[in-house]
Amino acid sequence: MASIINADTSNGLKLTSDTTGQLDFQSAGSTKATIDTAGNLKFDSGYGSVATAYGCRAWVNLDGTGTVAIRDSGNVSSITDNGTGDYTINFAIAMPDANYTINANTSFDGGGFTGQQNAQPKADFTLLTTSFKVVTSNSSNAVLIDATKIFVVVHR
Amino acid sequence: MSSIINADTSGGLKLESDVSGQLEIQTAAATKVTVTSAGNVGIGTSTPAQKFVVSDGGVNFATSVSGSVQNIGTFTDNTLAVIANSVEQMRVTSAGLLSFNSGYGSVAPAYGCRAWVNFNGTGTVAIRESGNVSSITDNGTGDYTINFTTAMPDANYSATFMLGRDGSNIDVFSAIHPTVLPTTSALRIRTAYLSQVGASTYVDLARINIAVFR
Repeated sequence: MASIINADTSNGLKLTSDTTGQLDFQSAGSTKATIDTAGNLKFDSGYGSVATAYGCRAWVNLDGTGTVAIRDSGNVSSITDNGTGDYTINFAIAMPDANYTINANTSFDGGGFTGQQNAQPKADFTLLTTSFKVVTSNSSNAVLIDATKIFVVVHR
Repeated sequence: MSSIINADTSGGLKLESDVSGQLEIQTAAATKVTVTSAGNVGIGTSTPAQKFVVSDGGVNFATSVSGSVQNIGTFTDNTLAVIANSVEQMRVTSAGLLSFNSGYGSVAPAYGCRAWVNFNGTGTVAIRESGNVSSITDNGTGDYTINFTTAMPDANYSATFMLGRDGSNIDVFSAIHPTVLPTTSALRIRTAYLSQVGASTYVDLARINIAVFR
């Protein structure tokens, strides 16, 4: 059971309530999204059932060459350039803890693949609630190198 | 006490008054609607704690138009907060920023995965499953274009790649295409062996996973 907001096909918008503490969003009487009592947001969107979805809590698309430039971002206040191929991603709103997960990808704009690059969390740097570091390197020799296209996303 | 308007079953319309400042609307001497002196309206409760409270029942905003969109929310520059179990569990700001919890520890902004695909890039490229990806263009060995069904608002999105090569432990690598920039309608990537260099390093991969965030 749950309190329900239902876009009913015959009666229009219907609100019903109970005391379970769960809220269901329905279309035609069928639940399409739920917020459970633990605060989990669940929805379908082609998944096959209403299931918990976890948030991308920050993302950034940046140019790491020259003066570092953020093309666009969410919850990223700034990028600190720590030197060649070494960047600090600073959050606008701090994470609740430092146990989030990071994905980073990049590319080399030199043409061809002789300068293929990796982007990854910096190995000797602990993740912080306020920031973390990534490095970009030439995958063939591990030498740090600035990259023009760096994609970073954070999930928590 | 209250002032009362009662549709009585024996005496017809009956009016009673006091100086409490509270008004009750009754049928058959049973209160159905209460307006408190503070202006709160209650249906099914005589002590509404908010401006409008419905207790032990539902609310139906009926429409005769089939398939119409029903709105719930704010119509001025205000945030819509969704409360469950007396706790805010989700909110939408007037700027359209969605916040939710889902184990984060509090209601915080979350950004959308706007496209994703899991595909086999060997032989004839085959999409196992996807969201907002219309097709994959095979541009040659280790060279793919991910075409979006609905275009991104700009080309400044971010993306993640995860790769696998069935039956081999050789490390592989994927990156944004070195010369073709991301566009609103497509993202072109290349895949190759990780530790080698040169044009011969490109390789088709059986397991390519991509997610796009914006």
